[in-house]
Amino acid sequence: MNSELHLVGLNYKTAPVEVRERFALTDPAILEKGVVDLTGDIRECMILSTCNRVELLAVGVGDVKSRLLDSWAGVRGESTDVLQPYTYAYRGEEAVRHLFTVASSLDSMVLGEPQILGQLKDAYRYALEKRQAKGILNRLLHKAFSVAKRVRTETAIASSAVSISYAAVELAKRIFDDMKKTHAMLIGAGEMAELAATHLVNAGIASVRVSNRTYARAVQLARQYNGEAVPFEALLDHLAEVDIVISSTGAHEPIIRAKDMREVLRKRKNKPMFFIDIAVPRDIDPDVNGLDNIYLYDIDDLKEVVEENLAGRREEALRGHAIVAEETATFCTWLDSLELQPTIVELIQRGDCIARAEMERALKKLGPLPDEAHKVLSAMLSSVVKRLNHEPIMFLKRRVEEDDLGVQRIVMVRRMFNLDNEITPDDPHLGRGASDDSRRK
Amino acid sequence: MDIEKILFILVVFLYSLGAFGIVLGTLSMRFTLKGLANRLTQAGFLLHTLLLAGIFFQREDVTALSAGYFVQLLAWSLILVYLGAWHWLRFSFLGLTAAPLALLLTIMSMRLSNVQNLLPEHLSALFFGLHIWALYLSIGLLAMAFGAGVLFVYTEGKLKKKAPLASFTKDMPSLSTYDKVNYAAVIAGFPLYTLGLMSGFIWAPMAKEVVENPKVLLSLFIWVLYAILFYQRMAMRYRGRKTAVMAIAIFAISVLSFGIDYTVSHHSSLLLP
Repeated sequence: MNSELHLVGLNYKTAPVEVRERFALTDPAILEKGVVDLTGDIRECMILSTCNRVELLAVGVGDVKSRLLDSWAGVRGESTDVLQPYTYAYRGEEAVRHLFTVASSLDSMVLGEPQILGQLKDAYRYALEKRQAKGILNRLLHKAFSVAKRVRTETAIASSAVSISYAAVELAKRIFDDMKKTHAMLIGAGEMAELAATHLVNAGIASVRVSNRTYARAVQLARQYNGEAVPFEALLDHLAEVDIVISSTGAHEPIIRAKDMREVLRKRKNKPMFFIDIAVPRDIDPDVNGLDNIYLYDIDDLKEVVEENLAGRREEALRGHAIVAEETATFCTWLDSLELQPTIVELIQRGDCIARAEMERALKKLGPLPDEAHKVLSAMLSSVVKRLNHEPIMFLKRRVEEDDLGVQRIVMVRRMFNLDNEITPDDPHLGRGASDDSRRK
Repeated sequence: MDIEKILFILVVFLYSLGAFGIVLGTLSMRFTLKGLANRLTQAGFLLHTLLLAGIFFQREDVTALSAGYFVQLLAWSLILVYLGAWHWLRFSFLGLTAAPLALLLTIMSMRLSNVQNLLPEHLSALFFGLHIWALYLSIGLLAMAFGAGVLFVYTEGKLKKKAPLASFTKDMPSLSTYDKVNYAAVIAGFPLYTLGLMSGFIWAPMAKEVVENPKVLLSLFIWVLYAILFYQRMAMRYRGRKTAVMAIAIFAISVLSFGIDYTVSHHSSLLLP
């Protein structure tokens, strides 16, 4: 019986967070002991466990799904009956499609988020170290990484910000041409404002000033951003020197008014300013947005930007699914080639092809030969190819019949003779994804 | 068919492909198409250079050049300024204005290929050296300010209203970059325009040109607006929307003035700048 790919799992769509917590497989002690016993019908296995999903991917024969569910529930000290209603199961082509969809972040809670690919790479690396990922999973995971990269580069799934703090930074880039020359000021403190400031620092802004009613808190925050603390009373004096202002105080009245800003703009020689008002009630007078060269976004405006970006991502996801479908078909064609007979045929054809090419080269050097000599040479080369191929073919046939590692042997022979025309990677494990990409380019 | 006609058809063909590719490539965010369109525009520009140089050296003097030749020269100047901005500053977005305008001017030049100008021979060197080059380069720069201005007004309007921006703008420059283009175009363009206009005023009476013709009045009006914009940028430190709108208006009036000349006049001098 041939091995087949199986995937069982649960995610944020099928299981509430309490269930996901109960069946998470992130505990190093559990993973170290091994969730699935690879001595039976399951030959390869990999576990992906994140806060939003737990998935077990395996290659095996027989009732792999039941074995995976039993093992999974077992290591968590739960009954399979409790686990099963929350799970989904795929096999063959459906399993491949699902994995590619997950890797491309098309199945994520936040479409296009980049973390899932890193988590998948970590899971694969762990399976490699534990020797649980072999021929088929190796190939499948490398393909999944390259599909994810293709979806990211060929669609705009990840091009727009879907968090409020990051949306603010993206907007700043629409206003200022060089973030390295911009200066920011953080007024007040709050998780979202601090996050926006951190994103700005990561985007490379020149400096951060922090102003807070409690000066000590301003000093503490300024230290965090390697910036300068500004007394709250001197706030307006410093505004002329900053380009981006993030405000998040608990004030009940606006702390920056349009009339104050006219003077600030004059001092700045009308250089543009971007205000991000995350406070509720708002810190900045909405009339400020009416002044030339000043752009003001409050929390609702930013939320709207995020909503629009999410809608854009959903549209791009359709294009992503088309890429996944195309790559799934390609991968399944390769999977089908893992049958013994196609590999033998390709092995013989490759040998014949090399022999014919070499003979043509030799004939060019030798010049015209009598027909008889031509026939003898041709027959000799065919014979050499057959004899060379005979032992590997017999070896493969014996192994496929004798033990359950036939597929691995076929994969090995296909790679050894490069029947899939791969570019030889520098790194035999992690380099193949890159090779796939470079080949596409 | 003579070589001039073949070259002209090739130039129009390459400019058409270039303009279409730049606009389509920008709007659909197909960067390969945009890159290819830029190359086609460059090829068209090279052939155009050959064509214009060939015509120039074939005629005995400048007075033998047709009004259509000068319209083509203006189209060529627009592409020259655009390619310069693209090569040195990587401002490819200016192609959105320059390439279609240059194509339009090149096609329009056909109508004027048999209209001769009335330039006296002894003034031809001054005419080419100062009037034509200064004025055409300044109009090229104004076209740059116009392109940047349109994009500035569009992007700024959307940001002010918190409206979603079209997807093609994702890879377009920031507002500050558009403003810098406006600044550079005004600072370099206004002195050139002044030089071109003044040399024209020196030439016109000597060529017994009709001084009070509407072209001259419009040119003066454009110069006054240009001067106001120059003053706003240099002395009043204006920037952003106001200067962008001003640049758009000045360029629009220039185009309007050219359009009026083109449609109503059969007198060659009116078609000269």
